[in-house]
Amino acid sequence: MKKIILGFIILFWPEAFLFTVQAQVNISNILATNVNADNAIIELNLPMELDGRVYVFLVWVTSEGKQAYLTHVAKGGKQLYEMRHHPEWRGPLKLVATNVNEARGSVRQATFLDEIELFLVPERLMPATINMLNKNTLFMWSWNHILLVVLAISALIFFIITKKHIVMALVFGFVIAWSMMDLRKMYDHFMIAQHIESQQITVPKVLEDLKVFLHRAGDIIGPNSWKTEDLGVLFRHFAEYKLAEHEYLPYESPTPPDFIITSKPKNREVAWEYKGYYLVKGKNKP
Amino acid sequence: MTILAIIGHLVLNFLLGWSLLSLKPKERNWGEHLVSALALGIYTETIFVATMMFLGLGLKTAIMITASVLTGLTFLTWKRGHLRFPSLVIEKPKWYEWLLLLTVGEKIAFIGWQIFRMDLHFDDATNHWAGRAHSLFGGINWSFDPDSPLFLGSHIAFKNYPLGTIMWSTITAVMNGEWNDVIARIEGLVFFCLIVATVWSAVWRFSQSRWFAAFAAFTVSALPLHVWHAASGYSDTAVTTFGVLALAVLLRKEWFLAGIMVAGAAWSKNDGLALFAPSIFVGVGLWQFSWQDIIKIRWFEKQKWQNIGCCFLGIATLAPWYLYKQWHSLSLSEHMDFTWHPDAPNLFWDYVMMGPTNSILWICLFPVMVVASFVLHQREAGRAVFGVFWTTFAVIIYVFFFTSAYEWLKIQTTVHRTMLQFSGIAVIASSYGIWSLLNMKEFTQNKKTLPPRTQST
Repeated sequence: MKKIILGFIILFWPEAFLFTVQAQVNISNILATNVNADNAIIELNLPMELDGRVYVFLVWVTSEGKQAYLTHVAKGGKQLYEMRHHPEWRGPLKLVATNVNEARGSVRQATFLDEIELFLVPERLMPATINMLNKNTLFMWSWNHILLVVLAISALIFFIITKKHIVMALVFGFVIAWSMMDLRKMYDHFMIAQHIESQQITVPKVLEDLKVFLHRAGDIIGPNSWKTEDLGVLFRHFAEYKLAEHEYLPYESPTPPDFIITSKPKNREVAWEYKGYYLVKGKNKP
Repeated sequence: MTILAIIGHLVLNFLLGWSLLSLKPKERNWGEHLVSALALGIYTETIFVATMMFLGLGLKTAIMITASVLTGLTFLTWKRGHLRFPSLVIEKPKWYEWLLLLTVGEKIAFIGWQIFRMDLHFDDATNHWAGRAHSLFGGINWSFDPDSPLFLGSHIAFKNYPLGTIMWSTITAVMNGEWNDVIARIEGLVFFCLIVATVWSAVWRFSQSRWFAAFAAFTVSALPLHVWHAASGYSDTAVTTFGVLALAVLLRKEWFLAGIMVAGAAWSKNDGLALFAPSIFVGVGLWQFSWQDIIKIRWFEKQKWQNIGCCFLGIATLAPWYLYKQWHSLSLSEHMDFTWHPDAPNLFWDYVMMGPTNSILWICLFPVMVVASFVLHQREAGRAVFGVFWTTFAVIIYVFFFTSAYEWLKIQTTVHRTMLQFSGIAVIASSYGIWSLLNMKEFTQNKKTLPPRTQST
């Protein structure tokens, strides 16, 4: 999975409180003005239908006028967003805003329960999960650092109190730290399974509409040929996999396909359409 | 039907591997025998089918011929009385083994849940691996004609990627009569179980300690990225499996089989060749020759070169694929420029050593290996472990610090997969290192390997 590198250049007009991001994201929903970022987090309430489908851009302007942002995958319902690890999230801020107009939220000081909630924010099932996993923090401490401290203290206890060989003491310390790590991951697994089961989905939400679209598109294409056009890489690959038993016409092929799967129908005859995906008829298809 | 096809395929693979292992009896316990037989069967079957397809046969014909030949071989081995299995000895689990079973069981359940409940969706799986396998199964979007844009599924993926897991999924789908997303990924679950079993049995062999074997198996199974990869349809779990098996069988002095396991890793993904061929060669070489032998140029003992040659022959079983690639001018991998990247060490530290994806595994494991290296070289197997670990690591450093693959470190993608592939070997090696430190006195006095407490097959 190739990481999508978005070249954000945020243009800021203070008068209009409007941000424009190069990737055509409008940052127009003001969450707070003139707040203190020290030990503060953001609480957002998002509609469930946006869960996992859009990126939430959290953008802010410091007292010196510097702009900074963080992105998160949208989480439905009331959720906390950790901001404190960002070096620009410090001191008084002029403004905090987001691109999601439906979002309601605030900037507030983190409480003890917030810290626990932030630590237990589960991993998200999304295409990027295959490459790297989320960083967990507890009271702003990296979970890895905490585990290393646990390892060291446990090893010291085994070494001093139970008189274990130093190597053995370190092994036992590692087992304790690794077990804690594993328990935290097991919690993630449980939460992911629960989330997916409650949502009754079978693919990450970003692919859900395409899956429904392709199911019907495959029936329509039948023994005819097809190709993709104007689809993002992830979506193109997903379509090519799902429809691998239908004749695919590579881009080099001189003959036009019978059907084209696209996000831009361009005034061509549409055989099937579902939530922004179109199956259009090729030039030779009556 | 899908479950039956998968189980049936695995049983056939096991029988095939068992027959082949029976041709050269060695000391193995039942766990080692089971794991080696299954991996060997998977590799042999897939390379056999692929070779016939390279020669121009159709998929189903190649599968039929393979099934006939390999079933015949199994029958003949059985008929001649060579098909023996070590006695099945299962001792009552101790409390920590129950905990191990519980934690590994949780991972198997989560992997299984992903495979059976979710559609295949991770990107590389939809093109390079399951994408090409589905195309091969469907037939219409696959070609062995190098002039076709569909050549080896190159319309959706890199044609120079090997076909090991692709062939296995395709054969399972043929046995099943149709393709589905379970078949596309189920081998990941099988390979995950093989990794845990291999680490357990390899550590048990040299330590003869149940708690220590359980500790090593727990360490490798809990690596956070494993549960995602095992259910993803990627080939990295297969590479990890064959890599860890290569070291495990090397520690049993099965040189030829070690070479075959390297071939299995390379047949699963090109990374397998780059990571494990040099390191297993170094490991086998260091087993044969002590530092004194190397310094004093005592290099001419025939038996030692035969052992190294056996390892090379094992790797050479992948020749059909490389000859086919050579014939069609397919490169070994994507082109990589040689350039030193000065910020690579810092990125590696931040992302791999201290990042969340690998948790604290590497930050704990490397110091162990640095310290243990002072002891490891005093014994044959220790030298081999030392050689395999540090050579693999050197290759990883070379690739991500000195080539254009640095980009994949910078954006944290392939680097974590590569470390995942290394994880099995690293856990066995560090366990060996810890064991040597715990038993330093015996280790330094007894320069030969300890006789394993196993049964001859």
